Amino acid sequence: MLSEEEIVKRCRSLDRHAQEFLFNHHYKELYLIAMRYLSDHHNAEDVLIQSFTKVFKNLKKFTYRGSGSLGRWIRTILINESIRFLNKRNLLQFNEDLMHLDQQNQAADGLQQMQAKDIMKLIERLPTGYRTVFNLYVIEGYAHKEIAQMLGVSENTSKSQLRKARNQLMNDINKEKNYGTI
Amino acid sequence: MEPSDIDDLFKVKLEEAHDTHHREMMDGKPFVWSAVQKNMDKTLSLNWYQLAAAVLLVLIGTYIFTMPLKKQNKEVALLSQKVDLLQHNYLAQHELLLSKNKEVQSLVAELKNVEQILTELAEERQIAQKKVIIYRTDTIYQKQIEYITVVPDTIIQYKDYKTLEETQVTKYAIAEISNQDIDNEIYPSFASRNKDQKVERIKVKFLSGNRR
Repeated sequence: MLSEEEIVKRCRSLDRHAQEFLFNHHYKELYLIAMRYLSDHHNAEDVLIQSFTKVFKNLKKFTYRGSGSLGRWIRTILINESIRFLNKRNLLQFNEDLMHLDQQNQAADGLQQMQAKDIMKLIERLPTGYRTVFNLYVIEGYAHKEIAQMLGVSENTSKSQLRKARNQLMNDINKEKNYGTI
Repeated sequence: MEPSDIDDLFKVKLEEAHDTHHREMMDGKPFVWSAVQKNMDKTLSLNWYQLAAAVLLVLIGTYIFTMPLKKQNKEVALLSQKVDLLQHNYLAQHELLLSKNKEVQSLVAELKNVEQILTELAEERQIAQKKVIIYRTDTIYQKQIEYITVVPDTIIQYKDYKTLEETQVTKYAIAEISNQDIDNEIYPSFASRNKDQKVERIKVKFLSGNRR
């Protein structure tokens, strides 16, 4: 079994087998991330093609900094490509409608009972703006300042989008709970 | 429950979502991989093309840049040749001119010598105006022109013949002159004769049938 560093070295030499190994190793994780941002299979595949092409082209510029550094680097490329894709198609819209916050605490139990794939589907159903900020803040761990810079919005917009995303998710979870699906 | 706690719940749940979209994911995998490979091949071939294009541009740029320089160098070389030729011609002409000047100077010197000689000769000898005097002798007139050497500043007159330097010619002339009667002088007449003039007397005999 080759180490991550060795894989990187071989990929830089344009070793097709090393490239395929790297692709297979990261494909599933990146596909799910792309789906969280884009919520469409065809769009996700397009973004994956662009992302992997960019990864192999720019491996010469990548500096290996220990285990996991390559995965983080590839994920960053995918997220940036996803946001670029949304911007290009004018899909990144930030809804400023006011939403009620009271559902939050009630939905916590429902969240714990829900299956992962159902939560994934709920996230994919969010409006693009809510979904993007939610993914960047909650899953990727970016700060509001960083999110504002990436998306070209203010910090307040980022915060409000997150709040709305949470509220909508909680509402949806409550609905699922009330319908008896969880 | 704090929002951050709920966020953590979401995070934990999503990490468990391995099997979500499994079928679509696997169906699309070969397509994604072949598309990535095509992009990589395109990149490689593009690199070759880019390299070839870059090399071609460099060559063309170098050619364009060096062409005016080469042209200028040629022109400079031509001009240099012309300058060398002109210089050579100038030197040759200069030498020729110097030699001509020397010739002229030598000719001038010769001319001066000649002038000096002529001046000296002119001073030594003056060609007097020859006056023709025709004498009548007996009945036969014969024109005979005899040249008699004239001594400068000496007027040959009848009474002065004795003072003349005796040469062969002057002896004859004197003998002739002494036998002549001045009244037989028919040309010019006595009245027209100027004593101050340098006169050369010439005896003239007219021979029948030999009139000239």
